[in-house]
Amino acid sequence: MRFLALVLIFLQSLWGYTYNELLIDAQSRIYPKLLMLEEGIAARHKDKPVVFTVVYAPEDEFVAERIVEKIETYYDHSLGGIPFEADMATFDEVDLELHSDAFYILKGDVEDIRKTVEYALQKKITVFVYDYKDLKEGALFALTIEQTTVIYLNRAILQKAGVLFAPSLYSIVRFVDAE
Amino acid sequence: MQSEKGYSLSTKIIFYVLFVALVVLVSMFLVFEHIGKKTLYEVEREKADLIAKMFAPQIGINLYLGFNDKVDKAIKQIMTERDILAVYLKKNGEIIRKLKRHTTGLNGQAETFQVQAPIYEPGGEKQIAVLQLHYSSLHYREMVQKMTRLLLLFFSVATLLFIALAYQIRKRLMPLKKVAVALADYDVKGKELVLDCDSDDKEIKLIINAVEEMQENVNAYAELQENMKQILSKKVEEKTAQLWQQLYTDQLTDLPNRRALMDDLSKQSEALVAIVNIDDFTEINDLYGHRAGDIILKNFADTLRELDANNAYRISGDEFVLIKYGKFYPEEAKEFLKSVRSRIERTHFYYEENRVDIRVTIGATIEEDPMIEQADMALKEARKQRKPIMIFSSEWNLETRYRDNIYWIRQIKSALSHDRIVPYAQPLYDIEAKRIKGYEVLVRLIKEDGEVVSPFKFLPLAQKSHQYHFMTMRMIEESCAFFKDKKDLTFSINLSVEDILNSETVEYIKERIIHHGVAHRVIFELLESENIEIFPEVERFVSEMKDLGCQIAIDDFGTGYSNFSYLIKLKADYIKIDGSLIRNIHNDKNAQVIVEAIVDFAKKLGIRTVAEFVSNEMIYDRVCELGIDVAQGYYIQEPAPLEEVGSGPKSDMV
Repeated sequence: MRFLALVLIFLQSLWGYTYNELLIDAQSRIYPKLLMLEEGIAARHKDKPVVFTVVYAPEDEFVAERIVEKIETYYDHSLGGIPFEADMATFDEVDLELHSDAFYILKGDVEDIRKTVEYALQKKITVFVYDYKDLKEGALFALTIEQTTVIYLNRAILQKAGVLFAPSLYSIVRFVDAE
Repeated sequence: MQSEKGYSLSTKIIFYVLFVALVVLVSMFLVFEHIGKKTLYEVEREKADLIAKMFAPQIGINLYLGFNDKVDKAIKQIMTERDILAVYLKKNGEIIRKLKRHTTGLNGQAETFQVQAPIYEPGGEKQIAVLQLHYSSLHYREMVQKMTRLLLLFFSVATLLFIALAYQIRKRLMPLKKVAVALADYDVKGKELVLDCDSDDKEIKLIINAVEEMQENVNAYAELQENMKQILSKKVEEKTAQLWQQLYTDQLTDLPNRRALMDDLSKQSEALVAIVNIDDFTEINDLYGHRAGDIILKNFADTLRELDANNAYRISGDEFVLIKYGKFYPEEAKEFLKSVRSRIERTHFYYEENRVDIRVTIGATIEEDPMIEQADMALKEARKQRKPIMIFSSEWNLETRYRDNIYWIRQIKSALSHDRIVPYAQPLYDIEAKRIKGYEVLVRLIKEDGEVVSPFKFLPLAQKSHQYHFMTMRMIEESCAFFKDKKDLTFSINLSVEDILNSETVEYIKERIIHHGVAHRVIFELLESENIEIFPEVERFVSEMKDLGCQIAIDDFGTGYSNFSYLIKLKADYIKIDGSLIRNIHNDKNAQVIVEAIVDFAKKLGIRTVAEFVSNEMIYDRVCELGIDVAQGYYIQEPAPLEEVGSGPKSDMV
């Protein structure tokens, strides 16, 4: 299996983006939790599950699936006692019909990313990105692993999006202003 | 100023201020220390709590997100606080993180306190861990020490302030102390009170002003008191002089009295002292009344004042004293006293229209102390000897006589209390019947040594010392008791006028003779004395006794106050011819003539006669020849104790 995964990553590298496995793992663990720090989310999801959608370029479908698997493994459809589901959608599938509470945008074309972010802003969907450079496209959160794990929060977008998080979150994030 | 009984006001105030200050300061110290400690503890605890609470969310979010390195970092960050000694992160009761500081000087739990803060899941209420901090109490202790030092500083400063306050109180009250000291030494008679007590305090000024005003009032009052005192003192002196004058002056005659006499005599060793007694002055009072007596006494005093004497005194009702200072020989004194007497008796005293002539008897002395007593003895001797003037002579040996008197009075009292006053009996011999018809009961005193004492030695003294009444009663009782069974014998008992005038004695006599049934055999011998018949009591006594059946004899008849008239008046049954006539009857023609006359007179009146002092045969024969009925005397028989009664006359006589 490990061998198969390595082969797929090798193959994907031939026609897809490259990803840091460690980073993906960390983001898979942490992004859902960050989402649950949004104020009022628990109240809004008493009867319906929180949907966490991995948005990807078509060529990264396999990566996206793996991320969904990881998340489901980690949280088993429940996060903090709230029903939780991980989903996946390509940039193209992101439209007004798509129901989601958060987008985890993988690498992609800038335009796609920007369009997805715009869409998310319209629907007050929290946007997490794989690549912290995409924060400047209007994403809200990014996570990098440097000497330690760093969470970036786009302050300009936070204000624009009108979303509030648990105050303790602000004490551990590194704020950036990128639009 | 500290008084004898307590402390001054300023001391008390200072004491109270310091006491209250001490209590307040100590209370404040204790309260502030307690509150301060508690507050500091709470502050430190709050601080620790705050640290815990401040880090709890950060740790919570990192735990939540699984940032263990950040959790560790946060814990290390907590440990940067120097008072945090240890941090424990517990999850489900188990320590998942811990970090301890290695310290020295801190002794474990006792010097730390713990706080803990729950760590909740971010955005939720789920507790995911507990953050426990071990907080050092070192800072707390330092703060407590600082606070204690501050409080002690405050206490010291406050104490100094209170001491300053006490000093100020003492200083402010010092003028009052000065006032008190000045008042304590204040004497209204002394210098004026100067209150050198300047004070800015209104109240103190008021007090000083009030004291000064009071001083003026006191001075005015003292002056008034002084004036009153002088007036009273003068009045007291006047009254004292008046009292002294009354004390030393006779109120009636204004002559100095006995007290003044004694004072004057105590200052003189050589003087002629003469007691001048007005003879029969009571008759003047009786005849003209006491008012007349007083006037005569006043005039008499005036006469004495005019005499050539240094001073005249009135020492009792009719007794005056003349003093002439200097050394006198008896003849000189006698000449002077004669001139005095002559002057007095030549003076005519008048009461209203009545002329009253006064005669005086004078007793005097020129000897040394006791002058008054000596003059008094001389006066008594003059009366006794019926001489107008007598001057005391040490040759009279009066002192020995007085000592004898005292001795015999003591003997009489002792004999009475020890039944040594006893009756003796001497036979009365009926010459015609040639038998003893009865006995005369004679009193005898038996001395302690058994000596029998004749009444001549003690009877007059018994009368003067008020013992006579008891002696008479003793004689009455014992005589009656003895002779009640001697039915064929009479017995004579001697009674004096004093006995008869004593109603108690008379009642006793009557009661006893009736009791013993001896009335028809008792003869009362009345001692002849001056004017015995003038007393109605004597006449009444005789009458009562005769009614009872008693007989009356007149004793010692023929001398002195002999008076035939009262033989009739007193209905005498016997005349006892005086012994001085009988004693020499065998060789004295005059005595024989007198006795013959008495016997003749008595026979004509039916009165029997008794011859006393029949001491020998010649006298007895003469008595028989003269027709005397009864003989009594040693020739017949000597007086003998009652036990010997009935033994009969002497054998040679029979």
